[in-house]
Amino acid sequence: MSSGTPRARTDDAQVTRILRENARPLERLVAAYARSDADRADLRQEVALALWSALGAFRGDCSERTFLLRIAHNRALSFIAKRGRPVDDLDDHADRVVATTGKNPAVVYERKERENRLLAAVRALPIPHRQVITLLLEGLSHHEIADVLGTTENNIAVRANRARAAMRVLIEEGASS
Amino acid sequence: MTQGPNDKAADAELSTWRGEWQGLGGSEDFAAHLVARARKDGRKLKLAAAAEVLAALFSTTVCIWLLARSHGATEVIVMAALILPFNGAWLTHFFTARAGTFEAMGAGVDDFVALTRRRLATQRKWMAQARRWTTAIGIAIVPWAVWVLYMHREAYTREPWRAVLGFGTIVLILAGVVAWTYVKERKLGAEAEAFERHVADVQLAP
Repeated sequence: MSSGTPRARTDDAQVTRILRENARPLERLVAAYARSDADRADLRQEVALALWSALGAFRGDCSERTFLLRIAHNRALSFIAKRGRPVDDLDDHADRVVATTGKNPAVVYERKERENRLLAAVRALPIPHRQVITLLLEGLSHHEIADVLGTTENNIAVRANRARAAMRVLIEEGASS
Repeated sequence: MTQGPNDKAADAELSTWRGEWQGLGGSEDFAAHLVARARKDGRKLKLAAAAEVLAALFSTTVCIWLLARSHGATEVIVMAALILPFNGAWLTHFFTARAGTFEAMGAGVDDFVALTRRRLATQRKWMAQARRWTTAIGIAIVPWAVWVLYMHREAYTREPWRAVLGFGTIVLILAGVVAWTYVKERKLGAEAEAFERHVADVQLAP
């Protein structure tokens, strides 16, 4: 058995609240690491189990959101390691989850295309850059990202610059293909 | 500090990306379902862990019972000398090395990588060790089984089901442990390799 057992009793209501409050960021993070519906469901569940099991050891040394994001990023790393390599199936996620606020179909289509390109670009990044860019896109500061990833702000600043440069290229490539 | 035109352009770019990114994400509420499943999975993990502990305790009890029943017969002492230290070591490993698996999930990436690397290495070592030890026990059991069969040949000829049940169970348990540890070690090896590939990326950063 590769997993240990949960130590402390976990409050289901607290876990539910944390997951509910961070549902959309968590969904985006999961989409950045897992392509198919099945993989996303598995990863989402693994994150929930890890949170449920680890919350007993949470001592409040960071915010609940930071704690959840740490768990989610760590679990995603384990997840892709267990899978061996990324699953190269069709990317249908953005089609499903895209927000369709515009009434004009052409506007909606254009928006969907851009979001597809953005998600595809994020997924194409190497993991250290993907970790930083997903958190940067969630609106976290360099300080907060450093807290989530357990590294220095300088390291995050350098990674963020490189990740953004790579994103530019990937998005342009996506637009021209 | 004033921003140059490049900084402003970069900020505008990041704002655009953020807007698009934060427009993603479904509106389905998975939370309650996820927690219910987590509780169920957590219970399964506890049961699996309890089964491992019970198996070790069961074989320990059987050894002690055999020692008492045989009044310290040499072959039983030899068997117990192989099984009991293994059980003790396994239980120690179980309650120490694996205790912090989930707590590691809440650590920063660097700590998590170090803890995961150590966990995978320790578990692989244990699986290999468990298989070697089980093989040694199996090898020791063969001459003992032959000797027992020979000594009680009349009883076993009268009631052959006793031999089938007794020796068959031993063979099944040993073969099962060897097969399980082999498969588990291979899976852990593949996981460690894949993890190292991804970790290499992380460690090369920035």
